[in-house]
Amino acid sequence: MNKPQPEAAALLRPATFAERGVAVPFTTPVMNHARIRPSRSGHGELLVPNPSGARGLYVLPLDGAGRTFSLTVHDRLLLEELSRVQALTPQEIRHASRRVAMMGTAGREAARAATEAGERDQTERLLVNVLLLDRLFRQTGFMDFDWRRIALQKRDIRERLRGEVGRLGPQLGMRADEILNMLEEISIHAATVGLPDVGFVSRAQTALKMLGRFDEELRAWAALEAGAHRETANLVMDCASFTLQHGRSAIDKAHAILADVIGLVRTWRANSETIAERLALAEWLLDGWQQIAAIWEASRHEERPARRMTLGEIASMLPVLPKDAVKHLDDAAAPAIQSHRRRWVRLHEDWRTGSIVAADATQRNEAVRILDA
Amino acid sequence: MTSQPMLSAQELSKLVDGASDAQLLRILELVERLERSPEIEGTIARIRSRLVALRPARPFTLRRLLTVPLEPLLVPHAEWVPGQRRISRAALPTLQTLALEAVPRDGKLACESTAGRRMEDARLLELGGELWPAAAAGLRGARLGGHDVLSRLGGAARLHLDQQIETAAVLLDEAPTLLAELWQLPPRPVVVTSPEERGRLERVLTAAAGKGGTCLQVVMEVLVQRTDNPVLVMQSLEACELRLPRDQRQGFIRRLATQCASYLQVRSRGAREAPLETAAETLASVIASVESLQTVGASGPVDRRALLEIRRDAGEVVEKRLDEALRRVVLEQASALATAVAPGDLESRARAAEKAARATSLLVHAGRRLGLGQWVESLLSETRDDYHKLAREVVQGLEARGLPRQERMLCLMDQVRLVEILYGSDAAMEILNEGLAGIEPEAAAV
Repeated sequence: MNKPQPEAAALLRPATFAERGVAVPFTTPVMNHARIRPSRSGHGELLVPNPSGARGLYVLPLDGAGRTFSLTVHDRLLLEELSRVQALTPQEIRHASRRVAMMGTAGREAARAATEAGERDQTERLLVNVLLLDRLFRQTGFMDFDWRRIALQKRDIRERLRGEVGRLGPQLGMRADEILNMLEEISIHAATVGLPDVGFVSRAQTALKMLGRFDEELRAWAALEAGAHRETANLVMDCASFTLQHGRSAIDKAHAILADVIGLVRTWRANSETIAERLALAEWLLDGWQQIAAIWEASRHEERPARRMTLGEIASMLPVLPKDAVKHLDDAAAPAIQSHRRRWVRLHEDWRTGSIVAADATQRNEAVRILDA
Repeated sequence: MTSQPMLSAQELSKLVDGASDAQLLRILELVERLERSPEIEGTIARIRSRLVALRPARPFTLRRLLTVPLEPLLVPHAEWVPGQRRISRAALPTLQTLALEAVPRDGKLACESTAGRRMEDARLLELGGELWPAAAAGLRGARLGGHDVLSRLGGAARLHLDQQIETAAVLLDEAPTLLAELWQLPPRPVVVTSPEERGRLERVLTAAAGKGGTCLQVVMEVLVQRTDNPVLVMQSLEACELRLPRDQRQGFIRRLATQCASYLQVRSRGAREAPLETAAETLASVIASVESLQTVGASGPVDRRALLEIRRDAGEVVEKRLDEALRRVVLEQASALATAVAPGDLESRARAAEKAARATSLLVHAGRRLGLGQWVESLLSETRDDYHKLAREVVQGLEARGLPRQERMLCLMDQVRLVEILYGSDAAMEILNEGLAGIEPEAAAV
């Protein structure tokens, strides 16, 4: 693994995940790999990689991107949607971009994928809610609770549950409604990482699997590479392995928090922000990687030279780990992401807009929207 | 490959016509397991342009292993010109049969053990390195020994096949090193090369020249095809250390320039009748090569009049195809999206319309590069209203059809996306805002 070079690494690393920003799935080629983060004015600001391919980022106000670049319809609507988002977290950005994709702005397939992914999220959230409640019953000694008595498909499910949950009140020192509300709130944060030993694979686990497959495929592909291309592949693989290792550990830690539901319920009110941060760590760590894996996957039918270009693009968009995160991770030897970037400008391409080759690049980005809905 | 055909050529033809990209790839997987008949080959030939764009992962078969080295110089039969170092797709089955006969039994067994799996680059080079030289020797032996397949041919047909056999034999012989070197080059068209990449080109050419004139000619053709930049190949030949007298070296370069020009002429004319997407890609590639050749000075090996003629021909084809695409092809496909069909069909129709629009956009670009910018702009401004009007009709039609909001939105967006590809996002936003007012007035001010 590459050792970080203190000065370069320190200069490049943002202080926190929030400062690093959240990856946004724009389809305009020049906006590839842009991130959004909170600005001092309270509105978001965009971090767009230097279009020339050289070092550095453009920091733009949300409404400035449209004046600077020629954006696709998808991106214009996405910027509108982003301006309405309250908390700039991976989850919120995902929901905003799904709402835009569902309109058909990235094509019918992307719309279908976004609708299905939204429905899957809702189901998982409900399932986590139910499973947390089930665990709570068991951990408080109410082993006789029978879910068959609660018809889950009925509309008055909450009414029916209130009676049952009321039995837990004295032990936890809370009213039934309080407990139900709290579990609903926790489920929103927990659904991304899922619960251990249950029958569904959470979004974070899916992202980890996707990243693992990407790492494996890249290793097989890179075996025939030499020189600078091999070095680039090594850097990407180092970062992927590092993220895999710490992503797994973050999920395990989140699962440990969720295993003790009584403790969780008792501490949630006082520490909800800290616990929510811990539950969200895996998602922040993996933010941007699913897009990377999807870009590599979308290029799988390309020939080796074209994939080499894709790899160069991926190397330039590797998510940098913030200082805060590196400090808290068990192994702080995060790979030093070199800032030397490059860009290939193809024949028939206007480097500022990506025009003409942009038709292909936009199409590729729309395919990535389907894979990473 | 099984001996039992699972579906007839007619059924196959019907299936591929309406297939989406994903369906097409699944059908191809099925076809890979069929006994190939001329009808099935014909159907595959018809969808080849789609397959080229999709780049399906082909399962590993001995036949495919032997075809990979020939791919750089494979051309449609209509583009094959006698005397050029290219291989017509029509000759491919014969070449494959002759090469297969020459592969030793243990080689066939080694291949069978890998059959059906995805062809990975490393495994391809490893197995190919063992089998390609034998296949090359087999092809040469068949030609010299007058194999039955060849002895039935007479006159020009035999001569043409002999030429292609020789080209194929060289490609198979050179494949183990040539393929690995080609993979290291940037994607085509190769415009700028690093010193390392130029060194690579020179090494390949030097090695080929050491094996004789035929080998050098074939390798030069491969590099021209691979880079879409004939001048780069000529410059590399000038720069590398060849044990050839200067006039002989210049002879190779002049011959390459002449062959490039005549091949570009054939390709440019072929784009007149080809399917829209193929035509657009062909013209873009022809223009890249012509622009490359035009950088050579007047005293160079390139006949400048021939290049001007190719540009003129390409310009005529662009004018014809672009006019037809904007006024008829894409507009008809956009109209078809407005008629009531099942959502699945609508999805594949939308995909087909967008493909046609992207090809049209490539033609727009080709027209501009050929100096037809003014004509292109006036055509775009003349046709833009047709699409706007159509979108308005679609929105009105949606109200009457009583579709759910989400479906109405998708139908509107189909039109918006086509306009975006053809005329840019500003024009598309106009249509979107107008359409939204029809779908949900309160959300119209996007």
